[in-house]
Amino acid sequence: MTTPLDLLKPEILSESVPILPPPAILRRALHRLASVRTVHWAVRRGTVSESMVREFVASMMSEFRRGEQLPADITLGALAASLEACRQEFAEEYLCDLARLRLAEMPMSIRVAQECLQARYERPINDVRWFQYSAIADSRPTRPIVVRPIPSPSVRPNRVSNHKYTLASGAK
Amino acid sequence: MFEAQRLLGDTTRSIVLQTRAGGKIVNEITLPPTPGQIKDRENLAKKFPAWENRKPPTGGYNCAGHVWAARRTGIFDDFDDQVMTILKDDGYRLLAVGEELKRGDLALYWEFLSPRKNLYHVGMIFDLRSTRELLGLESAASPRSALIPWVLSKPDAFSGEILHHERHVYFYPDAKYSIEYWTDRP
Repeated sequence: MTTPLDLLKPEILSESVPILPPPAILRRALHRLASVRTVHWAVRRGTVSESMVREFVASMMSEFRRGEQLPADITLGALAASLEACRQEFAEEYLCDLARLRLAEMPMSIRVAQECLQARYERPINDVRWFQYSAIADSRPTRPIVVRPIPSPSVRPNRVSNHKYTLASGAK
Repeated sequence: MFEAQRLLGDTTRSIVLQTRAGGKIVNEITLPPTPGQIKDRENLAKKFPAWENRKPPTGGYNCAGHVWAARRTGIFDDFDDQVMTILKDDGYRLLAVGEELKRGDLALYWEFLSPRKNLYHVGMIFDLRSTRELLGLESAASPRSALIPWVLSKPDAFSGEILHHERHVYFYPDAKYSIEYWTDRP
């Protein structure tokens, strides 16, 4: 069974990214790839789950050999770019864990993750916030209020010009 | 994630690299490329038949390491800032408008020039070839024909060194760039 994550496998991705420019440029180049965008939306929609990502990363890391370049280095970088704007906790965990590594075997993915984390924290987001109200606040009596719609600019009276008109006519 | 790799600690290698003014340059010596990476770079070279290969795909250094670290190490982190530090500390200057380009000058490929941001690549001017020579009209450079810079550079940390026309570079599809020439000549 194939998943969107398979689009990031090194043998497929290397055709789109035949050379590896500096990390900041590479991150942007990866963001332009259709495969990276597909995985991003699959994670956001839940088509790709946390367990699938963990399994995929584990399978890529199974090729890790000390002192040898990791063939899936670009894949891990592309996954970092895919998860950059995902708010799930495992996305944050992936980016942080990858960014804090210091390994010669995967030089590009680590640096791309660092760039992604930086961009992630600079990005303005809508976040769900939870507030805990005290028992006193819950028992406080409330009364309904009427909310009137604000008139649109076309029907709203131009108070400034009316004011000026009044002043002008009064001066005369 | 990456629990096993975290246990390895720091496996990167670097050397002491400083600018002429003594500024520290963060660097890393990269590992040799994988067979897959070598194949990718050979496939890319086929798309640029005018590329002249000087050296097959190799690790160890990148474009900046080729130009400023004598092929001993690569410069990756804070790329823009570190390159600007080197240019300033090592006494490079921007080539003036209309000033003649010479062999040994540098070509810097930027995405944005004002302010300078996102440096793609750097290479050294290796040759100045006349358009007439390139078209096979004559063997030597003619003073009346335009001279086109040919750059010796290393496209990335795992590619070889190539001699190429200044515009025959690849970063990613539709990448827009501007070339800036710098020199250490007084």
